[in-house]
Amino acid sequence: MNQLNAVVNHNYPEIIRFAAFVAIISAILTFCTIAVIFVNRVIKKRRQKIQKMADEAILETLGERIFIYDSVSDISEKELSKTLSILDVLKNKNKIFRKSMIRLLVYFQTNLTGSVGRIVNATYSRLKLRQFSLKKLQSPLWFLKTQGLTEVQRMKDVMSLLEVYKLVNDKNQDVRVASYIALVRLRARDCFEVMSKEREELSEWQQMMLVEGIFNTIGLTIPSFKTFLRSENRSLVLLGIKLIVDYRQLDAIQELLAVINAQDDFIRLRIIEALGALNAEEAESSLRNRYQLEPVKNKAAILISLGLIASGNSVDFIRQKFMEAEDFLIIKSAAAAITSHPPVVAYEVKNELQEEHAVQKGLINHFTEALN
Amino acid sequence: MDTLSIWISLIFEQAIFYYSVLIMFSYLTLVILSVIEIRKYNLRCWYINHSALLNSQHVPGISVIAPAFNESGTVINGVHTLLSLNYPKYEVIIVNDGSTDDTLQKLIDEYELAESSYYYHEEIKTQPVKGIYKSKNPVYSKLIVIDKHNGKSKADASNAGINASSYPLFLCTDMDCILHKDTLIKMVRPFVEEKTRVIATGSVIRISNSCEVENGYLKKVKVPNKFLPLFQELEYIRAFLLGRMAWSKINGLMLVSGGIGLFDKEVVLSAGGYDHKSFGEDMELIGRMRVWMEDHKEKYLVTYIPESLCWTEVPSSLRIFARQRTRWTKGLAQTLWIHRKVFFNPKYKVFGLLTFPYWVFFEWLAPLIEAGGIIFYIYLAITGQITWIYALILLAFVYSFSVMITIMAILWDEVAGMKYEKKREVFKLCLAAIVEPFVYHPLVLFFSLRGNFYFFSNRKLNWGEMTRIGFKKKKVAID
Repeated sequence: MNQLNAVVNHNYPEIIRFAAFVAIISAILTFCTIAVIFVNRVIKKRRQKIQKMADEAILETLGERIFIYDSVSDISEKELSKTLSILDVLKNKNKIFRKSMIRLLVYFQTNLTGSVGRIVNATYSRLKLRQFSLKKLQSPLWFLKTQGLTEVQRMKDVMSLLEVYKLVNDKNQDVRVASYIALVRLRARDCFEVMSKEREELSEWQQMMLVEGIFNTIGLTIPSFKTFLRSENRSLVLLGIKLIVDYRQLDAIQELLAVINAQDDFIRLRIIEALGALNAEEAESSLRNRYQLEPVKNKAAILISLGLIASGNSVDFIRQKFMEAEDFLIIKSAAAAITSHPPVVAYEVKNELQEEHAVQKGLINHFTEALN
Repeated sequence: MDTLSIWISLIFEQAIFYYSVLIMFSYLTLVILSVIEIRKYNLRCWYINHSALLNSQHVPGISVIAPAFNESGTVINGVHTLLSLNYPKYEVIIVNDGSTDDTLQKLIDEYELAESSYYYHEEIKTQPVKGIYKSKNPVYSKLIVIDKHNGKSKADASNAGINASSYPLFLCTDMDCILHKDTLIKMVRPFVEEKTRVIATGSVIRISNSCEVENGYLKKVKVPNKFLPLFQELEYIRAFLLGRMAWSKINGLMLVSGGIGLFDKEVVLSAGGYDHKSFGEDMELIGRMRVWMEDHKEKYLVTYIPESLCWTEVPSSLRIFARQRTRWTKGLAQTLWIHRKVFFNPKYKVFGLLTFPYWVFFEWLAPLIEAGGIIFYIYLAITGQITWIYALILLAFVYSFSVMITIMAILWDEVAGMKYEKKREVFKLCLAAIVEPFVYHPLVLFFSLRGNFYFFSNRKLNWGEMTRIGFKKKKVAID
């Protein structure tokens, strides 16, 4: 005790006093952290329990009172009022119940179509749950905004379009992308126009989410994505190329050829790949002419694309590159292109190979074997 | 002699104290950075819709590479797990690294393999490949088995896998590792999410020693029961969730573990692949990739995700543990020596000015300084020069701080996603954290010293074999 007093009363060197102070603070923090770990566990467990109860109660009500009907008109007003009042009680029980109800209705709306989907939608509206989604859209937190946007678009809540439009200029890019997806899903007329105004570069991930959103919206009027190819935002150009390929927009081939002189190696690579995927025969000569100007990766892509087009007009060109190239990637791509043609082409090329063409021979065997 | 004694006293009484304070400060910084990074990751998980990736034609393809040496007991389940991963575009490459048991035959029988004319292009030099097998059954069309001569290291086998891979990204793992079914979809995220080029990503590795496993799938996660695995679990939580997440936050990560790492193949090939002579080939590769990117003035990121996606069995016997730790330390010293030009070199930015010096001073040098301190302590005790109350306060200072850091790591693990179902398992971990500095740390210190001794004396160190006892008794090469 005397020693401790000595520490406290500043009789010890500063280093020792500092060490004692840190030791005490560390010990206190250790105990606090342990307490937080276990309290957090208890709270989480309790929350899970309530969540389970909420899910069960809501599912039971939906299953017994809503999903048994084929359409909203089949439910009598009296019955509907009674069901809604039961769900309303559940909704107002606590926050967990409300969240659970929104989550389940959104889930059913996403996964069920037709009349049941309409019943779910009507239930959502009459329980006034959309106001909670709209509240999220006004939150200062980006992740709540995106969550709200997801709910709005999955519930096909066209009434909220105005609120969604407010977020297309949000400073957070994830919110903006989520709002573009929401506009697409809600089939807003100018959804692509709004999207094309994005100034910041979109990540590959965001592009994929947009493609998925567009591709999975039924009844959406699809424009020609060639307009995206002239965008100053390179990521929008890349997005446009993806969409052109996915929707096989053959009318965009000329536009692709017009922008193939782009400065960016990566954009040119994607254009070359797109031309191959679209089997653009009219692009063959242009691709052959570009070959010498391109870096190795793009040269390989040109050969692959010519192989995919497989019109027969580029066989000599591919064969020449196959025999003369020294870079393995080029030889491999040329071999893949040769074997994409009718089998006779590969057979003829194989017959031409000499002993010194061991790599070429190996690659032709590789690509012609069914197991590979 | 008096002057020398004064200098030694000064070093150990003042300089080492400030050195310790600096280490502690760095740990505190790591704690703060890691929680920021974990929170950021968790928030994005709310928003991310994985089905967009799973259904996309535009995802980058991944080659999963798993070397196998005498894995007869686990290879079938292991391959089965790898073939069941959730991802739209991937292949599985098993490299039979000259197994002396029936590993290859088991694969041939189970997966209906036949030797194919698959063209093997040796971009990175490896031991000769004897044959490449593919399945006659279209269900296993993703599977490629390479049979090669033993290269006496995992690096050589991994390089063979890289040579045979056909996708732009590859995931390196071990045959005995149990991967989460969403491993690829989660690990590819940084590659498609970041606007700067990501060259490597790792994730948290956990210990499977006491976990319940069925047909290669993890049924129940449990805290290890045995002495060594239990403390290694703590060490892994601390290293992965505090250290690596924090370094990832400032793009200073220098190690992506061999158990699970997703790499950009183009950069790996440009950097020359794994160094088969290195005892820390995973760390050495990241170092070389970073040097290559910086030398070519390209922007890049090395990232980490705080999710536990890989479970592996760790040594539970002291003999194997000793060999593993000795090898790790030797590997660390080797890597630091190979890349010594990076040390405080502003050209290498965070890597040269922060990460590399951190590893030199606080990872490699710390055990040497600690050992020196203990010897000096004993000398002072024998000569009666210790003020015991000071010594106790200093001991409490170091001890309480280290326990606090470990407990915080356990909390971060809970925040990142509760792995253990029962409270008593977490309690067990907390108790282990309290005794760790006295019962486990001395072992780690001793083997670190041994590793340094092996490095400085250039003594030969074999990779050796290890008996894994978790699920089935068998002999395998240690990772």
